[in-house]
Amino acid sequence: MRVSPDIRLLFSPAVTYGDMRLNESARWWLWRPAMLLLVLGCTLSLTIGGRVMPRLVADAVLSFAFVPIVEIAAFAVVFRTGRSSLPFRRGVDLHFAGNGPWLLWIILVGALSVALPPRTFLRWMDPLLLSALLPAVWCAVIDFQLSRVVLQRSVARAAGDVVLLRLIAWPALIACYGAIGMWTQVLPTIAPWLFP
Amino acid sequence: MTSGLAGVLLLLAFAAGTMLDRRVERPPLTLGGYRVLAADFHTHSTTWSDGGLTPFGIVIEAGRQGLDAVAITGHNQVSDAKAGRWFSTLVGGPTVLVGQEIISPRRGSIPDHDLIAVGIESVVDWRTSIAQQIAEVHRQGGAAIAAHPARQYWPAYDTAALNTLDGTEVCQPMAFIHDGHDTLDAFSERTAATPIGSSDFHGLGRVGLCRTYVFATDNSAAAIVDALKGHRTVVYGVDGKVYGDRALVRLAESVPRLRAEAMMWLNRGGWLDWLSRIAGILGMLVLVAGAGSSASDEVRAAVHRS
Repeated sequence: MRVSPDIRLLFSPAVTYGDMRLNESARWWLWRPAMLLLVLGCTLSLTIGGRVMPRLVADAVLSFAFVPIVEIAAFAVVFRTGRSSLPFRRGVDLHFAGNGPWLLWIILVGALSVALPPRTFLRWMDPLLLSALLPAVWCAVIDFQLSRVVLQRSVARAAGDVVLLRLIAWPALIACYGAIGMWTQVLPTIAPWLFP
Repeated sequence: MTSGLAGVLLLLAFAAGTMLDRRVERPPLTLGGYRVLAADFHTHSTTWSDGGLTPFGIVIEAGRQGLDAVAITGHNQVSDAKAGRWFSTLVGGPTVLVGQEIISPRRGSIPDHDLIAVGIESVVDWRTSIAQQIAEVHRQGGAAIAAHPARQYWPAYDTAALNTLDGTEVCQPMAFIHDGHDTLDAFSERTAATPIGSSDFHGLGRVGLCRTYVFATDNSAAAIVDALKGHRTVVYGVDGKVYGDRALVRLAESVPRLRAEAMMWLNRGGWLDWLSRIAGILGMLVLVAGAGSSASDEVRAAVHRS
């Protein structure tokens, strides 16, 4: 069985991105963002309901649709900061191919939530959340190679791309997910029209 | 091929999950002249708060977990709770109490604290002292509950606050971790507030993980708030310890299903649950492992042919 490029990217991102850049994907360019959402949905269904249920998966997909949208928007900024012969859609596809470490970490969290008794799982929550540093760093390494090999940028520019992407995406993700202060100010103004 | 295998595994997971996705039948229970309602007073939605489900999803899930009432408690806002209440009325779901988790970071002389307000209609100002916030919750006809009162929050609870507080969480996810159970117990001993069990639902556990049995005159939001203010609650703690008024505890203990439902988290599920879990996890792994393989294969094949 041939190993998929997404798995090869985990261990040799430079070589794999070199191969992938030469190929064209036969899949829809939003296939990988959709896969990220599906994995998020299934995992949340496991952590919330203890099994995979379409009702919970659909709700979680709706709730977390902002994740790939923010990621694509952040990548668009990075992509536009320099010239590239690569079509933007292919760039998005290749960028999301580098999300493997996060996907595996998300699946691990879902698996532990059902494999361990709630008491043990909750006790392990802090170390588990701390372990997110591993995929965060791993993905940064893969993104660096994306900029170097696929977008063909210098070492300094590639490092800058990695930082810029995170400076845009992470605050935006946090703001969408749970920015208390921001919504505290905005919502009281618009809420009366939404729910009289 | 891998996509096909992932699809089959995920379909299997969905099918098993769907077969088990039924509302828990819970016939109305009356004890001591009160209707006994299972409630969760601390949940967060993904709409304007850091939860795991939409307000609509929380309403449906609360019904599935056998809850008669749920408070949606957004961080310093009440809009998602109002959306949930509207939806629940529409679909005949559990009673939804409009709530707010009043998040008050340290401001000058006011110490850091979190407070749950349930049965309110408008946002309670988070910039005031805890006693002022409790007074405002009462002015709106609601009840104030100490949210996960870890020791760092204790300085905020002065005598005025401790005397006017309606409820305090004695069972919530914090109770499952290290000495959290002892901390919640120790705080509850400092106040006469009624015991509360809640899930502090953020998506990494069940709605109703800990629950409060409310002895109310009916299942309206007003009657539930009245019951909280009248200290008519019973809570089963993580270790099976029962909290609440002795007479009510005795009544609750006469119905074994109340303890069984409260400790539902001990139940790991049957074979269909495990089929859904294992097929789902394997399906996701195969999906990720084979994400680009067939696409690249197709391209390589096309290049080879040409």
